[in-house]
Amino acid sequence: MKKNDNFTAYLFLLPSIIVIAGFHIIPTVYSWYISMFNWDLISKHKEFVGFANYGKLAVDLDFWKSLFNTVYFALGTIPAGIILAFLIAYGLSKKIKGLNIFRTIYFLPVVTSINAVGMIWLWIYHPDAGILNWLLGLFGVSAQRWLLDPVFALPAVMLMSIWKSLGYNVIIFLVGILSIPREYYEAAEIDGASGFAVFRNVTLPLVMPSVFFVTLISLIGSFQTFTQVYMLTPEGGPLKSTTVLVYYLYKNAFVFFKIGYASAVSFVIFVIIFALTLLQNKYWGERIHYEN
Amino acid sequence: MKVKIIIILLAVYLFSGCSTPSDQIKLDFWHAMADPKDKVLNVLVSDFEKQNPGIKITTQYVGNYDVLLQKLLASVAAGNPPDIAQVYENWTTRFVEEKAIVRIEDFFSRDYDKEKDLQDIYPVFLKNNSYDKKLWTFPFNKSIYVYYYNEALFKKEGLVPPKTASEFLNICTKLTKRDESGKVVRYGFGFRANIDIFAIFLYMNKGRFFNEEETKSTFNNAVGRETLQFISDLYNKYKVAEYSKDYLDNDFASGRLAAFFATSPHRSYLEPLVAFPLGVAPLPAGKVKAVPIAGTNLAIFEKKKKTAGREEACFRFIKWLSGSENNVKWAIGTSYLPIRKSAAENPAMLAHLKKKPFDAVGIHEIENAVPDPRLKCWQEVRIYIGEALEKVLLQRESPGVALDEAAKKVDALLAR
Repeated sequence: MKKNDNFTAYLFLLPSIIVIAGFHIIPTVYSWYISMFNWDLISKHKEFVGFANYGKLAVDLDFWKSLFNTVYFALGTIPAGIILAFLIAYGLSKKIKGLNIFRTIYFLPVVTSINAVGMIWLWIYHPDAGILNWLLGLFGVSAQRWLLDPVFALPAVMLMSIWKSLGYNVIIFLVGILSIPREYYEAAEIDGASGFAVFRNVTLPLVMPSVFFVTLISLIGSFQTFTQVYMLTPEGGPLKSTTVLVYYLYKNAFVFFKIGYASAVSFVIFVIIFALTLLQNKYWGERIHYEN
Repeated sequence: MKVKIIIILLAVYLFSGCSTPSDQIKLDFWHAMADPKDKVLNVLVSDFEKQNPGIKITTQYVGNYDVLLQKLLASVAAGNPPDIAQVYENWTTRFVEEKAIVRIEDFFSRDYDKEKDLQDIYPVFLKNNSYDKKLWTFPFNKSIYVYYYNEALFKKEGLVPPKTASEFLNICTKLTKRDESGKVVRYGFGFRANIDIFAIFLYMNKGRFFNEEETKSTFNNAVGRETLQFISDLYNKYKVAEYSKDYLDNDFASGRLAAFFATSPHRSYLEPLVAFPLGVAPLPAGKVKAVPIAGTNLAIFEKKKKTAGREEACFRFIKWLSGSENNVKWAIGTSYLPIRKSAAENPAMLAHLKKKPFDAVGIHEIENAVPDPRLKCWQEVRIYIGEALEKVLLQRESPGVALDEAAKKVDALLAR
């Protein structure tokens, strides 16, 4: 009977297993295998080099720069994105006028195609005709060259990324806040807790699962950043300043056609994301109060 | 009764067989011709199909050239390439090496008017499509760099397009306009910060990227350094040019740039954008008159599964498309160069040139054409030199240091 149950369960899981195995697990494992070779995608001969590609990575300054850029991107986007999203969600959880309009406005960038968004931000950042320089000009700030400036290019991409993903995080937080039972607030009120104390001791701890979730997916997402960079700086920067890890992978794989080397980069990205997920789970796991 | 049913079934079987003739050859043609050029191409393809009912050609726009290369390599690796595709010369080098394409010479050498073609097609294109003296691919959409300028502005200022490098600098200076606060509201010239602008000025200065055998970099010699210094000076010293990573069309159309370099067919994108009369002139001459050509050729891809007559059908199409009459239609519709002299002298072409003298500018430049290097690692070289240009524009390094760094990387690739 038990055995039979398992069989049925696996049968139901089969479609997902096939898709995940076919499109995720097998390609991932195959790319580890390819990372042991030098291969240009079309040669019949693959030259076996063992771990030489990983050795080359360790001393490749461009790789380290791309890792640095990725960490910089994560630090620049995640805390700011989360705090901003939380504040907005908190505001939207109150009964204010035009609530639905605000919710729509914040969510609109999420569902807009990144290509269309990229075109608009290219125009916003245009050094002569851009609206950003015009706006800053009103406050007497001199015009910047944004995407053409190695110092500002990556922050410019970060700004667009925060704006683009804000609405998604807002929705997660909003659901988290709204799902807190009224009784807790009533109890707090009876105990004589005031505005900030309620927020600090009721709202915040109970939204922690949402914060954990958003942090995790933001972190994974930031290590997978590619499209934003590619749309705004198709060449990965001025002076490689926007070359993040996945862009570096892309450049090696599909511009230089060093498939083995690119696969080695992809393995490193895999390890980083895997480690971060485990660490985060361990750290946060003990600190979250799940509503039963 | 039974017999009747069998006869009916048989008839159905036979007739349904007739409606889709099984002997029709189906060909896939991958290209990177965006709107409006793809329209011209599709009209030609359907003309071909009308004249050759046994062949059906499915054209597919797969994206820009970068994407086309990615998809071609992936499809070759997967053993499922298209039948025909546009290819750049440095891609062909790769495909020839891997035997991924069919040698066109094998069909061309048997062609009835081969000798006529050899006389008729511009030698630069023939040479550029030949590997070990055999024709592997066939020239298709070839273009050449020209000087686009704001004609209304030039007229107002009493200027004519520059013929020499010093006139070029002079005009850039005259047309750069600043407002009261000193902010530039119009630049005399604009360029995209990549290898193309360097190639244009390098060839003009009689420089080349590599030695004759393509075994060593020469772009970092005195000529290369001087070239890069000049480009940097336009931006950093004289401040008469602006650069961008993006296309310059909108900046030109809005009047922020007085002139820029782009290839001849770029006209079809510019014309709908600009509200002023558009001017097209040959590139100014440097120490010599030399102009880079761009654009792709057509290749027939090798298939694992052999279909009778497939390769012949591909060649038939390529040959038809490049024939004088169709080449004229293509050139008129897109402003790409005619690939043969007879097309350039065709009455329909001459009538078109009278109406649009622009297109004659590029044709006259063919005699000064310099093709791109065909090295397999050319894509990488392009990026390394682009990085050198960027470092110099941002004043991080001197031209000498930046070019030497790039040459070191390139020579390592060449040594392989």
